[in-house]
Amino acid sequence: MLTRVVSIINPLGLHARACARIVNISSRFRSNVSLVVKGRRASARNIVAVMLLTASVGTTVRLEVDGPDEAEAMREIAALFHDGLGERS
Amino acid sequence: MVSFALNGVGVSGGIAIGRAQLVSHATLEVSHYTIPASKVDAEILRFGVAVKEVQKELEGLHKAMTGGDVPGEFGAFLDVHWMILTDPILSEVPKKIILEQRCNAEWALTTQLGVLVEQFEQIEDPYLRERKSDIVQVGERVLKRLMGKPGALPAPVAEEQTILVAHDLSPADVIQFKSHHYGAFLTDVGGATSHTAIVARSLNVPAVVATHNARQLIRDSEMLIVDGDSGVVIINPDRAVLAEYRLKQTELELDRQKLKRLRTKPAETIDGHHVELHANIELPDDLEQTLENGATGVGLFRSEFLFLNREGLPTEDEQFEAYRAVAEGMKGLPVTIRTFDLGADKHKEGLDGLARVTPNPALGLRAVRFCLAEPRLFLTQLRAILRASHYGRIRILVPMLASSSEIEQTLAMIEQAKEGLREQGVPFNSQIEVGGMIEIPAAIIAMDAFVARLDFLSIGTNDLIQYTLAVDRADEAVAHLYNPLHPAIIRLLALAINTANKAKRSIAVCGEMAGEVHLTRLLLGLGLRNFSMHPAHLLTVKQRVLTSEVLATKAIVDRIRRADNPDKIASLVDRLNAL
Repeated sequence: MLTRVVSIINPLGLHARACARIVNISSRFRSNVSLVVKGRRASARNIVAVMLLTASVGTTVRLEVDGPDEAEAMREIAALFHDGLGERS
Repeated sequence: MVSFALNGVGVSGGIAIGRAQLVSHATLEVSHYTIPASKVDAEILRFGVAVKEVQKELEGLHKAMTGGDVPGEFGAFLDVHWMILTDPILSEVPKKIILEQRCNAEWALTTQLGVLVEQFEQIEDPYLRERKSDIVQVGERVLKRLMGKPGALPAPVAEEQTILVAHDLSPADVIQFKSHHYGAFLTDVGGATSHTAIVARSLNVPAVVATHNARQLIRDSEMLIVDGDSGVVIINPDRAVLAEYRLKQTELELDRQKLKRLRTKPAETIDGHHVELHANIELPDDLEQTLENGATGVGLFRSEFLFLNREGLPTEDEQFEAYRAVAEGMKGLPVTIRTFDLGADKHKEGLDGLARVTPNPALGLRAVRFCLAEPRLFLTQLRAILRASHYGRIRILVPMLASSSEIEQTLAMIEQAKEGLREQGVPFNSQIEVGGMIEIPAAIIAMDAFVARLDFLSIGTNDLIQYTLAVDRADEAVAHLYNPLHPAIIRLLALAINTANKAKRSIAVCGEMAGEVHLTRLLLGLGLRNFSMHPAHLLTVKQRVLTSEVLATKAIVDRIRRADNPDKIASLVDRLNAL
């Protein structure tokens, strides 16, 4: 299992569309992806759970990726966060 | 037909006149009954089928959109709804409830929706909390299927404009606006960040939300006027009111067309004085509006947003990313970042200096005073700004400077931050311009210290007026004493602008006065050539600049500078605007 800590840099935080992007990318891989925010865990496959993490800008998120393609999955998901969840102008 | 008016929140501007079309939606009456053990499997199946049907409905809408000129938001909203629908928490958990409680599918789904909504209700961030409406809208779509009322919006009736009146609208509903051309939206609930608001703005259709009970009070095909700027809805207007709004509507449309054409036109007075019109922004997201309104720079980027909705302090990297995003987004135009304007009134955890009660926060440890007292925090921000300066034309603006020693200390801190970056080999603009906010009367009276040491100046008129007149605008008992046209304010402004112009230092006004179009000529006449304001005012002010002649204002402006009372000044300002 790989873990990595990233932070939310897009100003609106984990809002609905940002969550959709996370679910979209995570579901492309066979590995299980989890997001942990302040001790609460959500599977990146379930958009409602991710929405309920309610992470605002500046929050740190621990990514946990476990499975056959974990290295690639981690790379892509971490890149998405680094990119402001696709919202950096 | 009785004429009456409703007040809501205008979330998308403009005026629409048309017939009401009521859409019954939401708050569906759901009955509760027990299912015999033998029928439980069938009930679970019925639920599964409804989910599948809604899934197909959403996919169909998505397909119908591709190729069309639909704003990008629509597709994203549909994706979100599709994902919510297929999330087991909505598509599977109700099946378990049916099995365990032997209840009907509608009741099981409503129960589960209630559980989820309650979890969303506990969220503190208002923007994220409102996302519960996405869950509810998806749930209601399934409910309507279950109850045999599959729901597309009815087509608008006649060639007259149709105004949609609903409890709430889902993104999928709003998509049908594209083909149906509704004239406006009116909803009982919602806020400035609701889907209805976002999409209405992207379609440029007036919208008023949070009318509470519009759907109960308005009847089908009643005549409505929707004023999206003031949030007023007039039902069954009489002939005179109707004529007035028709005229207003035409005027607004003409104005809008005219203003839009000014976007790329350089701001220059009739007698050839070039004027810089910059934007005040709070979030990196404000850039879009800034560029749309033709700003030639960001005159004030308030950096306090980095502290919003968070615990602890923003890191250097987070700040760097945010500043860089704006610098790059402005594509070489100047971006003026104001260092933290935090104070005792804006208490933040983790900042010991603020964890005490101060009797008079406006005169206390705030802005640069606070930053100099918390050098670690200040240095982190300065490093982040300097690093970002490598990626665009960034300038540093320091708030609330009062004396030369504060300027010296601040410049020394900036030097220290530069030194650190140099040692680490991190690139930055070593020629970065450093400016000061002029918001304390002392700064103007002894401004030679400022022009000697700083590259540029920016007058924060809101605080300048508060400090000069000793009036707290937030205190209702004295708010009426707050007056930008007090002779003392005019004379301080004149002195500041003159001193800066003589010393060849650029000087801007970034307070509210800069965005008030009836003061544009006064400020031009006082010698101001750089205005920074909320992006929404930029084009209106530009229009006034283009029709002003500085030379012609001279005689009246001289009289304004000598006038000894605000009423006299106000009437002279009126005369300036009548020129």
